Amino acid sequence: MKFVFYILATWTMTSGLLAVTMRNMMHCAAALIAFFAGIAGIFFSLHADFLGAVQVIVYVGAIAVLILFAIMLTRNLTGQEGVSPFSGGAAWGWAASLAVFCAMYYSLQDHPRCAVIPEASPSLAVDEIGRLLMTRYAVPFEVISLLLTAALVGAVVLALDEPKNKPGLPK
Amino acid sequence: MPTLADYLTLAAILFCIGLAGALTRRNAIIVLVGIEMMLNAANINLVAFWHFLPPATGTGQIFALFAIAIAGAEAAVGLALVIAVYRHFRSVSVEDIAGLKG
Repeated sequence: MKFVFYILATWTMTSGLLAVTMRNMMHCAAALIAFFAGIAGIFFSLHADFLGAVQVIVYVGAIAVLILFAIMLTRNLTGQEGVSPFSGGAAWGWAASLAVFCAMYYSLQDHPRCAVIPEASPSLAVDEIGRLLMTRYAVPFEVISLLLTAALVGAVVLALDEPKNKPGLPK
Repeated sequence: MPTLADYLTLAAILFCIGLAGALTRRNAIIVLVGIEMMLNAANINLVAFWHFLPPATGTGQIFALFAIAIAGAEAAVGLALVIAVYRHFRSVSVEDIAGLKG
């Protein structure tokens, strides 16, 4: 189990670092897909089978393709020659991220509940998840469906071409 | 067996990689990628708490499910915004989009 965890941890950290540091945008997207797949593996290793499948469908299947489309639509694959892919104050960004990590790592050291190992690994069947969504979490479920509809309409409205650019329409 | 602390440390590392990506890159699409990575790291935390801390009633998994749905909506709207900005400025570099800079 420990072995699997270390493989998954190395996999996700490497692909995540590659996804945010590589110059070519297509390589970034490929590393991002590997990262999402690694996260799905972590869910499987935690016995969250349904969530691992959802991760593969939603992230590897949908969001990665969405990001690929955005990269191809904006036609800026390799960035400008001689210009760094990192912004001017990038050192401050790395420092801030390191500081956030130190704060989180310090806060979870020696916490008594962190060393607990469960006697039996829990499992949650798919029918139980469906029952929970329809009973205890019915209201959030409805709200999230409204939110997804609003996001769908909003994304279409934002990405629509302005009418003045369309041929054949009166100015 | 890896402990809860191992998973939380991994999630913290992944969160900080995503944060660094969102803070340091020029390209707005990679900034969105960094935000997605941070959301994924938070989901690892939720599922790890569900797995290690009793009682396992499924709340952690349902929360992670809702977080994935929110992340999907965020990615769709964010990338539509990037495309709209690209159409206007002919660039996706966050340093070129400085129309409101004082």
